Amino acid sequence: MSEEVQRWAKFMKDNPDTWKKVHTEFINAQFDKAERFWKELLKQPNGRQKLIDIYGIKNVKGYEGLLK
Amino acid sequence: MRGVSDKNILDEFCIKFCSIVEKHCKYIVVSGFVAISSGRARATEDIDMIIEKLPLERFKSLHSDLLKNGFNSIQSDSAEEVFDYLTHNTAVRYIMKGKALPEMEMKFAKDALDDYQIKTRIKLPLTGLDIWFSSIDMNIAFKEEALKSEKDLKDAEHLRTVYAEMVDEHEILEIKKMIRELR
Repeated sequence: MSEEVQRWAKFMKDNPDTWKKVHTEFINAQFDKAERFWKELLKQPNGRQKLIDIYGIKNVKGYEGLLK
Repeated sequence: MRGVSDKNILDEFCIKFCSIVEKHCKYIVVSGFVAISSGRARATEDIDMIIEKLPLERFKSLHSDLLKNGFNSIQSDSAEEVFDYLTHNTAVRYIMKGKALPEMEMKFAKDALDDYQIKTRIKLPLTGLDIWFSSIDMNIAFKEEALKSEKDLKDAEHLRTVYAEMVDEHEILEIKKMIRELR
């Protein structure tokens, strides 16, 4: 049994009206962080190519707006 | 900073994508997002989806509908090229135009086990999402028998805890047997 899984499951059970807000903020924060990092990396030399490599982008044309 | 609503970014992305796929074929959302939408507190970049195997013409219609509704394929805009990946059992990835993440990773059903997953698909009211998932027993079995990473085992434990009343140990054993035979 994993302590943190059980602790979080208990939090959900004990806070049925509020756990979802905490969960939503937690999930959304990952995407805010990734988006911010994407923009920073684009400013770096070779940043564009690094993003193409990291995400395995083959359809570069379809990503044009995100890669400039 | 994006706003906080009842639905998180993964939920909204998944609802929109599924509403389009639903018009064209049977689908299931599997693996990590089943656990996350059921409250597991961890992140993911992609949502995994299995759809029934489609002939090219029907897939073209689905792909075109996805593009028309603001999605892009990471592999190609061409339906034929994307179809070629799918028929070679390679997952294809879609994003919302203008957003690098999250991604939908889509595969064709490839064997009797995937057909069984689609046949036994369910909706999970606890998630608050009106989408089709593979069953809880199926997800637990895959995570414990096939995937087995620390993250997957914790997902399985979370599902076992949250859906304790739904878990059918006999069914999980049967699915694990199928996994050993077919994968």
